[in-house]
Amino acid sequence: MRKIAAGGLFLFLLCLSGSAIAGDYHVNGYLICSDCHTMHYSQRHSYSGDPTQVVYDPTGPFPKLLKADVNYLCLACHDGSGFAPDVFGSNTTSYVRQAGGLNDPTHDTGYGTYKGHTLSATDTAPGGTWNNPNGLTCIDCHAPHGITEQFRNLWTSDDSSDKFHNKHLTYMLDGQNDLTKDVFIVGTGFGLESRYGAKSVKFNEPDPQKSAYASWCGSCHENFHGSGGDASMGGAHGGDSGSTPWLRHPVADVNIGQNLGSKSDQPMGGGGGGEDKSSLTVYQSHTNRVQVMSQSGDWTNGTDVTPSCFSCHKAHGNKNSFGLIFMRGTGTVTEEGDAGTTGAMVDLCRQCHVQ
Amino acid sequence: MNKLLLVIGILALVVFTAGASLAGDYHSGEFLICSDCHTMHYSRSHDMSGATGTEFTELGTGGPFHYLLKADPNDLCLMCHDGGTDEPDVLGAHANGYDRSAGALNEVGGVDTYQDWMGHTLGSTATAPGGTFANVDGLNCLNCHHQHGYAGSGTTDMAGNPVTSLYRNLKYYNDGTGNKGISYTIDVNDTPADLTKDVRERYGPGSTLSDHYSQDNIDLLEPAPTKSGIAGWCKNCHTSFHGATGGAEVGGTGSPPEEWLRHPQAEANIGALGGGHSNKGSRGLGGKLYRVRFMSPTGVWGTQGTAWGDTGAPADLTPTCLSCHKGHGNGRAFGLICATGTAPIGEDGDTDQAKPLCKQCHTQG
Repeated sequence: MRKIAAGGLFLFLLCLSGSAIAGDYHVNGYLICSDCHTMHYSQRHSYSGDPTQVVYDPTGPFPKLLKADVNYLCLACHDGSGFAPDVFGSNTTSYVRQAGGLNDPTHDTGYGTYKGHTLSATDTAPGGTWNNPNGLTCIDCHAPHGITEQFRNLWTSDDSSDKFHNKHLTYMLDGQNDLTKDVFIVGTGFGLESRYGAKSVKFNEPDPQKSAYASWCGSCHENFHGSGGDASMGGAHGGDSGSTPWLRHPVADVNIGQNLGSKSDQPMGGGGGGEDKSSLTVYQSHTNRVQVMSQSGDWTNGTDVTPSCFSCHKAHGNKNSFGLIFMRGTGTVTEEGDAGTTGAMVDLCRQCHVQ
Repeated sequence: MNKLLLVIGILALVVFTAGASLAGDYHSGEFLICSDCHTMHYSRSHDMSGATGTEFTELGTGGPFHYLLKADPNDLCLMCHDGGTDEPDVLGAHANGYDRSAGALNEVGGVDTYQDWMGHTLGSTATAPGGTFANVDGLNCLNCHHQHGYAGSGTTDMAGNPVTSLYRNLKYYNDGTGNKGISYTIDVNDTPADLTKDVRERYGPGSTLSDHYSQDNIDLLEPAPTKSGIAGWCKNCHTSFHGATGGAEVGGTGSPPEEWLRHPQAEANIGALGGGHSNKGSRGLGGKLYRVRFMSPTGVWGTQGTAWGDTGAPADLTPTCLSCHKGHGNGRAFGLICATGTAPIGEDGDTDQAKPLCKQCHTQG
């Protein structure tokens, strides 16, 4: 059972008190050293004297003066606490999480190790070469000390040798969109759902040929991402004109239904040469839609919407293989999509495709 | 309120003003006055000169006491060291007009605004964090301070330099090679420090309580670059908090060492490593107008109120226990000195948050 570490109450109070918190906790003024570090691996009470707020992984002391091993430490607050986003397995609060749930080999509660990102996995990242020989940890993706203006404190680096070199993923908060930013958190206030719920997160498309989000994922999953025409992706800028078919599913540089009248916009069941192409008509016909990028910020009626990684996958994972979102288009939306765990991959494909 | 025996007070005052070596070494040598603490028959109706004030005749209730003491140890010590103006006031708040170097002890259940989780707690039977020591009868002053202030011949400090008087009469500690003491020097009017000592008092003989016990006038030296006499002493009880670099207690590898398991209290010069480690430039220590205390092997601590800037900070400053904690405690959790670096540092620092203390040296956040 994961336990609440020292600082948990403080974090809880901060969440309630209402300053800028949403991926930008653990950064700047909300980077609280004592949330994670202990100077002497011996703490009997909190900074307010409360002895019930102190729990350690008993197998320390740990490098970098951490209170516990990285994953254990993060999950002390981020698994079942109720006051911080629950990122592991099922959600103890009732909203549909944008990122879904992580899994690990020892805690399979429906979130198997083939259903998204797996803590402690030593596997090489699909499509890439990177792995953590000591096991995947939260801080392989998230900067523990935060990065100003970086969505969810996801890593970026000025170091050209770093796999996250210039992987900026900017965002705006509290319903104030800026189309030059990559992510827009629509939700206002400081509730967890407002900040971390799937309905509260939208994706801009500052550069119509690129996806900062996909580029970020490509830090590890290198071959999965790129612009049209890249060797790993195939296709062409603006989509497949017929002579340069995609080699991998695009994550940028092609709008749903682009090349209308040629091969990219076909009605459901349409025949001819465009059967493998997407249809904006089909996409917009669904009540429940997967998330897409929009250059104009119109995710409802926009004709400039582009799929990216998050359209199909939960970043952390869910109860479906590959963390896929089986979204048929109607019904109650869950983290697995409105088709849930009984759905199929085709439900997801048919969000845009016509076959 | 119990008070000091006048004769002793007068004697102490005379000694202070006369200029003998005083500061922590009262209750030592010629200034060890038996009748300060002992009574032969648990019955005093007057002092050695016939004076009958209660400050001379007061005895603890419930006696007679072991060792012919006038009272239980804590009560006895606090007769003079709580609420007095001629001696350091060490319990709870004080009104002597200076920021105490050691801060304030507290008692079980708290005293004044000093809660029993804000430093050392008189009467506590808890086991020392990081160690095994506990006083089943309750922590008392004599667990740390040598009541007779003795510095035996042949005793050295951590660096191997002879110790002729123990700083604050703190007890010996054993570093595995025998008894050690914390050495100190009392300078005259801020003259250059004796760099072979562990501690330096800036203003020597003929001075006030503030000169001897104010945090502004106590400096930490570093006679051995890989050791800390203060930390070695604290290790007596807080065993696992301190140790040699690379050891099981604190970890640390390489040169300069990094990958600590517990926060270093010796051998880690501020800013020796880049990246996410400590920083002595403007973003870190060099940017602070007011700094907590660090050990210096060269006696250069800068001037409080003046920032070093990006390049001015010495490269040999090392944090130790007293950089972050008050020896006795204060009004903050763990006796931490919560200092932002932007305002003069009081006994508690200048804020109620711990993070600014980290940011004295670290830059994250």
